[in-house]
Amino acid sequence: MTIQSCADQQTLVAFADGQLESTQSQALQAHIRVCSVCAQALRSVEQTLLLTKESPVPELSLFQAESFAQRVRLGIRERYHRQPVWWQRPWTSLLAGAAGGAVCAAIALGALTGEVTAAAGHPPEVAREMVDAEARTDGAAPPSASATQEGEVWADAIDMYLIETATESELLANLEAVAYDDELMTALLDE
Amino acid sequence: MRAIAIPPQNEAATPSEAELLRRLRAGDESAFDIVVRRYQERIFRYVSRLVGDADEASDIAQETFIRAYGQIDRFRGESALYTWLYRIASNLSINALRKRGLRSFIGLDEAPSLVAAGGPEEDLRAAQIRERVAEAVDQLPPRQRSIFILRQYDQLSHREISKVVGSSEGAVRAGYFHAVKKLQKSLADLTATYDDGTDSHREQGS
Repeated sequence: MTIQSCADQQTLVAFADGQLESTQSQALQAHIRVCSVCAQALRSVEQTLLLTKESPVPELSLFQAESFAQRVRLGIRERYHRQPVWWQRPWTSLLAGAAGGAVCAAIALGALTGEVTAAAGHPPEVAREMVDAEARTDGAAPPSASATQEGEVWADAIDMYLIETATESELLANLEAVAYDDELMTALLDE
Repeated sequence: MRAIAIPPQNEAATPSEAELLRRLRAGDESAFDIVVRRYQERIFRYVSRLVGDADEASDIAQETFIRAYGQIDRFRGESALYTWLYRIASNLSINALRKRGLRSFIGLDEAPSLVAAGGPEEDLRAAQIRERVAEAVDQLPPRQRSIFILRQYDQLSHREISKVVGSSEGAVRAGYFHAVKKLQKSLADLTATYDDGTDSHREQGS
């Protein structure tokens, strides 16, 4: 660029922006000293930039700055480290399984003791009859008032089970054994 | 509004960017916290100037950091971290501007030093200038606005801006020039005192 040539707008903007190389910059400065038109054009560019540059700087307040960082942290956590909902978490699955098992166990227990529970709302003698009837139906021993009675009931139940499940030959053999035992036979006949 | 409480040159500035990156890639969340504190004001300021509305600017700036965290593995470190953040912020801001029809609502609440503070007349004059400058910057196309703001206010180099906006340095220079030219035209009456005969010279010079 020679001193005689006027600068175009782009060169003036680049000069005002400090983007011209030193040789170009020196040439333009030399030209401006003798060219009022270019000098005025450059002032216009600089004035425009100054007007815009002097605009206020948006700033975060103390509170805004702190909440900004916190909200970024929260956003990251929600988007990238989101915890599975409670029923998806491993430990809750275990808990849920355990709870389910407990419920099943409770239901099973309830079924076993259901007859007693069902009878609970009745007078004692009626309740007792209900339990006995149920036990007879199921082939199970009815609960007795004392341990001795209860033991006898269970022994009868076992005998009944053996009678029902023993083969015919087994029963005959047992009868033969009894037949040859006079004392036992006498005792049985006496009863 | 008062200045941010956590200055960029404080404790957050202690670890180098390379060290921060190493820690970030190793999953150290505290390193990202430092990044946020170090650059939050710059990014907020840039977005605020670009989109105008402070609340929206805050949201976009936060989103910038959140996305940066999620994509940190994609950052190759070929440019400065803040340049990359600017780029994310720029894309988000321009998208936001496009969604609402290119208009921003820049609120300028401080008088330029060109207008001497003084009595009511000067205050009124200063307010008018702020309004005019805001309108003029608003009227720039988003990309030119972004380039202008990055250069004029954030003082990024053309090379850095080219990385932010994804253009060549030449395109950035051209974008900046066109932005200044438009602003000069929009604000011609404000600078008329100093600008007699510019148009005739422009014809002559170009």
